[in-house]
Amino acid sequence: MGKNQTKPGNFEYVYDITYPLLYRIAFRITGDENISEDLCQEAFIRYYKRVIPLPDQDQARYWLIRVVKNLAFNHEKRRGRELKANYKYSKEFNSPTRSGETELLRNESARIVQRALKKLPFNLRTAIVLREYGDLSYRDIAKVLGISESNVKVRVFRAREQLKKHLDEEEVDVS
Amino acid sequence: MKKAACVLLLSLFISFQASADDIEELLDFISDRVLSVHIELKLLDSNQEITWDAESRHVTVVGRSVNVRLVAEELIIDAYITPFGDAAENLVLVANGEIWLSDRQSGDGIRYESFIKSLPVKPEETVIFFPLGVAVDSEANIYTIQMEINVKPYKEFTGQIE
Amino acid sequence: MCPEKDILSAFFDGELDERFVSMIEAHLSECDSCREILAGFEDVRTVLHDAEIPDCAPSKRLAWSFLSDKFSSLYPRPVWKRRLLIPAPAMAAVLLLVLVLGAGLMVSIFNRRDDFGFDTVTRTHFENVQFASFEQIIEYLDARGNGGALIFTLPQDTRLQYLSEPTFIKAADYKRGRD
Repeated sequence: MGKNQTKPGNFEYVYDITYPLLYRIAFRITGDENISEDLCQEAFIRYYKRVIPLPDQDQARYWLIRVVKNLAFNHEKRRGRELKANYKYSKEFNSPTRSGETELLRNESARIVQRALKKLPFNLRTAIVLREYGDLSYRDIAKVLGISESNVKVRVFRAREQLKKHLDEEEVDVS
Repeated sequence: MKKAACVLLLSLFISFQASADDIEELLDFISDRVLSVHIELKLLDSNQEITWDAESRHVTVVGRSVNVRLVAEELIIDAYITPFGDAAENLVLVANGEIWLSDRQSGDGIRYESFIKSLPVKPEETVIFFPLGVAVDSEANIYTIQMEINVKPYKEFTGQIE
Repeated sequence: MCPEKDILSAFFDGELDERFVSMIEAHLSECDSCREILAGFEDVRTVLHDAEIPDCAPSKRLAWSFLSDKFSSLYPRPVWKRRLLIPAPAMAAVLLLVLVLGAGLMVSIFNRRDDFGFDTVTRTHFENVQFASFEQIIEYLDARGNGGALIFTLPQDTRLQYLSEPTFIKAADYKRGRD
């Protein structure tokens, strides 16, 4: 990709190292490949535009995650309004053609998991995604989301509770 | 001196062949005017407890604004913090901007307000800007937005970006 | 006697305070229902991690080519890529300034103001706003500005309202006023 790949602070380096994580988080929150790609692109554009770069790799990562989460929230709010208007004409909220899932998700249980995640309210979904897929500590999740650690604990727990219920309903083998 | 520096700057942009001496002179002229602006934003509940906190540091020059935008669910504050004066001793900070806030009382309108406030200040003296004002009595569920601003000369030209 | 379930969840994540860990472990050795709850968390975690996601490599490449196009149109080539005949330390400092200040520097030097004739004025008025939504306001601000805004996004569930006139005060004075 570029010559100076190993130099920290270098934009290409940050992009290279962080893209997979950002994409994973965006995908788990939104359930859509194309949207995830757009969100990641937008986050990196904003990162590039920062006049003062962040001092280290960790700071850059948290910053990018926070941007992706905010962009995902805006997207969902906007889409929610559009969908409410279109609801009469569409059959299913999460039908595969609407959400852009491609044949890559042949794995049926992967689809089920994504559906279950999508059923969670945005705040709970973000907390559990950052915990399980972002590997962030409660403290770091608190920083990214702008809430207290105890709030993080409650959200992660509630997310787990609801997920278990949704997965059980889908008859995924959770035992 | 000012004219010389501007000519130097122009030649820097155009030819990139300035000598070491010219650059030092330019740096001296500029270094008195470069400021580091530290902004810490806090959200306080009615018990004055900090429920949310974020900070940022920005480098600017005297006369050039730092644009801070606060966005909440039904609120946008577009604020400009501009330092004027002498980076070494006497500064005046000007905070001006616009506020858009959902106006619950009059249905679903958006209330708009513009503001401009100035305050003389010494370098490294912290000032606080309350864009939505300060609560008179402590009512439950009232949050206060507090923006702490601290300006100081940015003297350390080590090439390291803070 | 059983701990709250969200405590068990924190314990499961290894986020429980050290002092309480041994207490929970002791309780778990004797309590079937709590062990079951923990097993439930484990199952959810397993299912979550087993679920595949699309490979990000194609998306990453695509995004990169789009980004590099966009960057070259947004900004001129960064100064440090041009050849400069200036000694290293001074050059680094100058580049810092050029990077940070850009065109604004020249404007500031020319427009230096020496009179501080600002009154402390606050104008408040209702207006027939031409915006239908907050998103439109943000778009308007982005279009008007030069892209350098520090944006702070406040937590979503905070209700905010006007408390008084916008207030600008020294921290020391504010503390004195409160005590």
